[in-house]
Amino acid sequence: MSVTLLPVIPGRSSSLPLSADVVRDSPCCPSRHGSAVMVVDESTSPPQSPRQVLIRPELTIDPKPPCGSKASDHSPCMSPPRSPPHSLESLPDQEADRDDELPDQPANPPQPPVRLLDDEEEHIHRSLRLQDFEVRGTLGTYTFGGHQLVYSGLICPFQELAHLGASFS
Amino acid sequence: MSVSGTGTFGRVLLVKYRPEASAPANTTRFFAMKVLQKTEVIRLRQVEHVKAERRILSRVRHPFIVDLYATFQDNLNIYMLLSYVPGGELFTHLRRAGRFSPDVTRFYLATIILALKYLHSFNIIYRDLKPENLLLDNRGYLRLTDFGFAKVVDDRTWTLCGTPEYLAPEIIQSDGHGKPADWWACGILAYEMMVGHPPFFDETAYGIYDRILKGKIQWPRDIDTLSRNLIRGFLHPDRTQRLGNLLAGADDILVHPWFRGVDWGALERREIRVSFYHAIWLPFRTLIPDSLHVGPHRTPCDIL
Repeated sequence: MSVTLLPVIPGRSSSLPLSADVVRDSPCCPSRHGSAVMVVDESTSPPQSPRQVLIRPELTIDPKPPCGSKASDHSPCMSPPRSPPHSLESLPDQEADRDDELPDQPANPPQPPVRLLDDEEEHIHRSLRLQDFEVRGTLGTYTFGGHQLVYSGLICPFQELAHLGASFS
Repeated sequence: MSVSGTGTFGRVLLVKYRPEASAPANTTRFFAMKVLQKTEVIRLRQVEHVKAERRILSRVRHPFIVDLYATFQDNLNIYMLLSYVPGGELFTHLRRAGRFSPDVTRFYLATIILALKYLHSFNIIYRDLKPENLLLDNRGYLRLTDFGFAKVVDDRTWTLCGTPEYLAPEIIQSDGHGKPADWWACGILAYEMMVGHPPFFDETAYGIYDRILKGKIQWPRDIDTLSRNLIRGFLHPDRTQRLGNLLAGADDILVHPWFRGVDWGALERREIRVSFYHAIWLPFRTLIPDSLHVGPHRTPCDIL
């Protein structure tokens, strides 16, 4: 049962939304590199010549900084909103997701979905209020879209799992 | 529980529904409340992603996907009231266990495949599959969580997002990606569960990408042929040849010999008894109700 591969698993990447002004810090904890969204250079994707073989290092998610180092300085691109509560819909569009579909790609013609999300009923309980809930603990924190759910105090011993040849039939 | 520091995008709180009278006796009163700071959402350009997460999660409904019950907001934050899934991340359990047996892997992977098949039927791609985003519920089933990168995509999309170890070659090559990238991630997940680490890893993200594009998979000797066949099917560098993206789509996965004996219908109805679930769940039960009390009458908005 011994694994004969590389002896040590390096730190886990975490989810990383790398926008132009943010570099994710990857902690040295036994997690991994974070999930990432990378808005590369504000260029409109899709790229016009998609046959790029290797992402240049300067375009890719940076190598992990040394353990414990923080992310590089973030220059907030916007001052905090201080207007009255705005709805989710009224938040300014920032083109976080610049991945509009390319209309003229012949390889995979767009497929209509089997079912439409808009046909599904919203199952949101509108009668609930934020004040109906009291906080009992923190399950985790999100950093740059990637999260580190700690489940502090909630971790139970799971070592047994490895030794249980669970049957699945 | 101080004011969140630099780089904290938000947090997930364990909350309890307060009104005593209105809740039926056997209904859960505990929920997970995901709290996102608006300033950070904007600064990190995640507005569209947060909107998509809300839109998708408020409409999909699947036994292996976390439920969104309500969303709230105030001046500072966006709040998402989600299922509290008490077993924690599969990642934690996998790292503690080292690796899973093929049977345990089969159970977990099968549930994820059903969840992805369901999402893909809406043309939703998930884009961040990894053990960190899989939570264990009180019966030992997995729940897919964190839809921050999920998106409705009829064809392909180009945003580089995900987690380096789980990125498909076409994402790295900016070639446009779609559902097949989720199936690739399934292969990475299957390998990681059975071997204990992902097939392509390195100190740096660049190194990881290099290994992914080279595509050389190292196999521990005890990984059997059928398992290798399944994983190789998912990890086909050419997405048109990739398992899940062939003629019958996801159904090709369901009939793959590695899953022989799986009753997919019973699984989706959660009728399969998870024989290892006691090991996971029992130690939790005594912990949850009262030991986490952090103070009287604090609402989620008091915390951040």
